[in-house]
Amino acid sequence: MLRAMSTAASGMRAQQTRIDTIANNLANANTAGFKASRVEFQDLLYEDVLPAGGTRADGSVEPVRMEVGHGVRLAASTRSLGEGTVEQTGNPTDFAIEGDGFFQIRMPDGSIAYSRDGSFKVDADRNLVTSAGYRLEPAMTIPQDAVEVSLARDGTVSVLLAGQNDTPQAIGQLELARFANPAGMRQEGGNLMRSSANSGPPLLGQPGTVGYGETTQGFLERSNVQVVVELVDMITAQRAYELNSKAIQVADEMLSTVNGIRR
Amino acid sequence: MLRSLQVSKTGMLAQEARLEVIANNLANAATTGFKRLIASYEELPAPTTAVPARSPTPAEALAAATGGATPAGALARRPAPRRSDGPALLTRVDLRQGALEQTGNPLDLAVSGDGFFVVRVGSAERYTRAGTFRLDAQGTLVDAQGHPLVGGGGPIQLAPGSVAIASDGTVSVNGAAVDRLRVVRFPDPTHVRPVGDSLLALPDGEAPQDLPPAQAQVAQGFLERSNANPVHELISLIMAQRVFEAGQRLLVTTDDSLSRAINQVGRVR
Repeated sequence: MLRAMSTAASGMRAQQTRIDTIANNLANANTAGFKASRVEFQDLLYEDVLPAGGTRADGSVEPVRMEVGHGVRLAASTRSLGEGTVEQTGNPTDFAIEGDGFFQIRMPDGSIAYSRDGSFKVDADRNLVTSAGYRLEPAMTIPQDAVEVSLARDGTVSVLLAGQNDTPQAIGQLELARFANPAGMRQEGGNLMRSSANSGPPLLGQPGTVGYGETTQGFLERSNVQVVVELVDMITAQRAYELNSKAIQVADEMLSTVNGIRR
Repeated sequence: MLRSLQVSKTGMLAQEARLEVIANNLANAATTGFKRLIASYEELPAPTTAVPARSPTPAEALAAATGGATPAGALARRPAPRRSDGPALLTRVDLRQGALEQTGNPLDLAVSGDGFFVVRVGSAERYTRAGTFRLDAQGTLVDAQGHPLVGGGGPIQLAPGSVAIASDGTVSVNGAAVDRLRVVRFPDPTHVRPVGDSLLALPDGEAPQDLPPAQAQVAQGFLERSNANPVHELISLIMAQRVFEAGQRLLVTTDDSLSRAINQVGRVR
């Protein structure tokens, strides 16, 4: 009886985690480059109450067995890697990747983080930086007298200097990273991700190379959260939560029935 | 009278176990590829107080007593009228199809029909319908717990690129076929047992049948939802509760009757 209660409680806990994840997805429905998460559940171990093939007291053999499960647990939280909607912003330092690659971001401690958020800005030192001020890697410095910045589909960044009409000068080449298992990357917040043992080491390549995708300028990749899907998930999670609470209620009432045996 | 107490007890215990099975099905109502357990009853065997089919004739009695031959079957014993100790609960896995839901993730796989994916856990094979596969750091196709998915040539290693999985289970990367996923069915579904982690197992020494390519029916970008149906489970829940209460009533009534028999029947005023 108490097992039924803890089994149902595990179900309620699982649905709660699912609601937490859905809430986070919905909160980030407008975050550039955000990838929606989804929680995966697995059933817990089963207990053999009656092992199969056991012999009864009268010598007959058990035909099937009795197994009782112990509920559910969180198996994994997977990130859906589908591309978000690409939206035109017209801002020359907004970059989007059409494909699987990630921008490389140099963190203040020297390590590299990865991002799909291409809303870059120019800082006081005229470097291309993320909204948080971390530099794009390889570093791009826009000359003081540049009047126009352009990014080619192969990742070449060039500028048009004042007075030098029609002859853009290349200032750098964007390099993208990709992973054997991008879903295994560690999420760090601030639209940044890190490589992990699960994702495998980063493979670097130029935009336009097969598998890395191409870069576009003046566009931003929005989040890939599908609000309708999240809402439907939210409703099912809520109902599943209620169902599990019913199982607890029944277990409780049955215990109360037991208490009624001896008056 | 005391047997009736015993029947109430086993009946109530069976309902309690049934509640546990239902609670587990409900807890896994959102578990990908979960296969619910069906709780069924089996009458416990009646006590083996067999009685002879008929009284022996004097000749047969004499033959039996002197060790002589008796006509075959003459003294065969038939079972006593069945008076069982109430039901015992047994479970088996319900292998029916769950709903397929589109996710669009290229490594989310579902099977429609009676096929199962094969994963390797240590040296053993386990079977699953939970198709949330991913690549590990080496590019091997693994399940949510990291167990490798098994193809015709063992674990499947994929180079980076776009993965396509055909309905017969053929895995290709950038258009080049790599391997074919093994999709198996169980010749005797009653032998299947759940082992947790959304995996099913067969007893030692039993192997499933590989499905021919045309019958594999693998769907890429889909996941199979749990086959636990909330309506069904809730009704079973109510039934378990009411039968449990009935068992309790029987117990209380029997107790009352016993109490009367012991304390009142013999009283003379």
